[in-house]
Amino acid sequence: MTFGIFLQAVVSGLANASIYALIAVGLTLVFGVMRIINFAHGEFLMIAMYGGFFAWSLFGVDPVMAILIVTPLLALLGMALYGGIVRLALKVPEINQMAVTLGLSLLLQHLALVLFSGDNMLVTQPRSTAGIVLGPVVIQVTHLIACGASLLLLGLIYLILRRTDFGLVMRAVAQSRDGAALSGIDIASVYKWAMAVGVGTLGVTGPLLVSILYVNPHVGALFTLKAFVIVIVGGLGSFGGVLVGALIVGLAESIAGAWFSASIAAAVPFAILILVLLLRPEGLMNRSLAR
Amino acid sequence: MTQELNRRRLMQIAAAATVLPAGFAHAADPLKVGVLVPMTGATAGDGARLLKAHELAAKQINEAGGIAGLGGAKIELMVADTQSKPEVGRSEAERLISRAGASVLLGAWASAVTIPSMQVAERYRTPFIVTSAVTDSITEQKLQFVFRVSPKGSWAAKDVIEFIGFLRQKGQKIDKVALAYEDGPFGQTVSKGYKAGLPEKGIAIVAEETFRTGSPDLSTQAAKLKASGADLVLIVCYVDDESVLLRALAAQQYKPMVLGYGGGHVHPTLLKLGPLVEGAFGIVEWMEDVKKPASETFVKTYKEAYGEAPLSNAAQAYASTWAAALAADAARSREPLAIRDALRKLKLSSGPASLLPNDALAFDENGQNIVGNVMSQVIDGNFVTVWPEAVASKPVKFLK
Repeated sequence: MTFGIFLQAVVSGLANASIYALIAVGLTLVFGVMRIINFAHGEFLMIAMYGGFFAWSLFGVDPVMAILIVTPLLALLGMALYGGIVRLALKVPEINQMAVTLGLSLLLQHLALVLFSGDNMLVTQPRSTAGIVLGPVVIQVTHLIACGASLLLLGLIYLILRRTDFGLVMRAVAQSRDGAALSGIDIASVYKWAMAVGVGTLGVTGPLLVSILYVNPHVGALFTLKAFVIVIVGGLGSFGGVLVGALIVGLAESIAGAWFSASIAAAVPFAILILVLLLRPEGLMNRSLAR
Repeated sequence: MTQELNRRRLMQIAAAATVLPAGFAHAADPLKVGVLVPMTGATAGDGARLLKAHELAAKQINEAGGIAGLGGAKIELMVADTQSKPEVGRSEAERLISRAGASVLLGAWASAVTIPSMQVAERYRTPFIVTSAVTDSITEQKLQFVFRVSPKGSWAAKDVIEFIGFLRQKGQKIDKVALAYEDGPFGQTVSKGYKAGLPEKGIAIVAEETFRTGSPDLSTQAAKLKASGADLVLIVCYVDDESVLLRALAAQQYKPMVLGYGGGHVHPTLLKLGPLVEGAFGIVEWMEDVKKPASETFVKTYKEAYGEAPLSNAAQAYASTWAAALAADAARSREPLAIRDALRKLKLSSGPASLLPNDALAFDENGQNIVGNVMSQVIDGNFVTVWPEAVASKPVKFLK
């Protein structure tokens, strides 16, 4: 492998990492606050991708602009998910909670299959094939946009958590549910908003990802497992952990793929997961949202 | 009123029941053909298309006066749903033969379902015509009652290599070839065929890049393919990844010839990429523009009947139904053994069963129809058959 190819692999790894972080941040946010694992996270991503696709194909809205439409919709879906399902699931044992979100994920996949058929849908724009050449490295424009959006969104969420009352309340609930309740915080309302933000982040990811990839009813499942690996490697519920986890998984996968074969590269994230769970079970960045 | 009607109806049925068997049974007992298709389960969409083609063939046979060799007997399709499951395929095959009295079976789409089903037919000494399954071993076990209309899976790599030879003859410079494939059973199996066959023809494989289905970024693979300087990139993947790979190649400003393997590369989704796929090749078992009279008639009648274009599996199902009827006609018998013997002698170089891209539909001593694949190329935003020249609807378009 030449140095140029290595650099290309690093750049690809960073591009992938930023997309993974965009997907995983919502998952960890919901877990941090509510201690519930949402297996249907990937399916909400799929819905956001269809949102981005139809905004483009029906109304000619650029996927970057579609974020402004799809994000509020996803946030509303997140609230509905809390009000309709998760609120009730919180009262049952954890294993039942998992079964509920797992069931929801399959239900959404099949509904999408009925509504949109199994065919792949593509967003094709002039910039879909454009690349920026930097010495030996080529960056695809759509990836660059996703990278930028990822940094912006993560920064924004960080600021919200650190600098606003809303963030303070979320952190309080994450640290101690009962303590927060005793201080007069309306837990149900915080949960509802955590779900709105957690699922809403996918409203940014979806339109950007559909212009890079394609959308079909099963596309979410491709990312759900990887997002879980990232969240667990980084530390469940840890905001910084998402960044670290995404960088490790994205880079390791890409470099291993350039060096060896794709099946080895695909195994790398899981090898990292097992190593982390053995050596540092709390995750690499075990400071949760609360601290 | 209703009572009276009911009584009249009952009397009609009674009359028919007493009269019909005597005069009707021998001359026009239908030829019972068992059709195993997945109507439910993972491959239900394919099953529906297959059945349309089987039914179209049966309708044509019956409207043209039935099977002459059987005194004008009609063909009767007994359709059984395999639910896309091997064990259901097996039990339905057994039911069709032992209880429903099928003279011949057709089916059963996927190899996993076809293999157990055809083994039942072999045991009951009833001919089984495999419509679309491509696993090589189906016609390599010296089975006495199994026939296959579709080609062996491994023949596609052979055809691709032959096609590369054809391009070189036409003056295209193809000395270096790169492989890009999804690293799963599908990609690994096909690329193994390429890796075995290409060096024999003196064509060097200069790069071998793999990826996983659903990778959002393939720019490293694209960069390595570009660095290899290959004239032709052989892609083996599902339609999902092909769009991502082609975009990554374009971003690298690398435009080699590309040739994709499998039905995914003749998929309408791909055409949405526009200029990016112009000139791309794909290998497939049959195309609707295959230039043969039987094929043209089939496409026309299929479109009239169903308002959609037939896919390659429909053409194979159609040919298999005709082959069953024509074998019974030649055998002048509904006996499975006699039909089996007639199938072995069948050689259909014209007529509806000859729509596949070979000279004649005929089965060798292993029951295999010697049929190749065709090469499609995207020309002006459409998939066009460009090879073999005998059935091509347009010549290959060279971009450079």
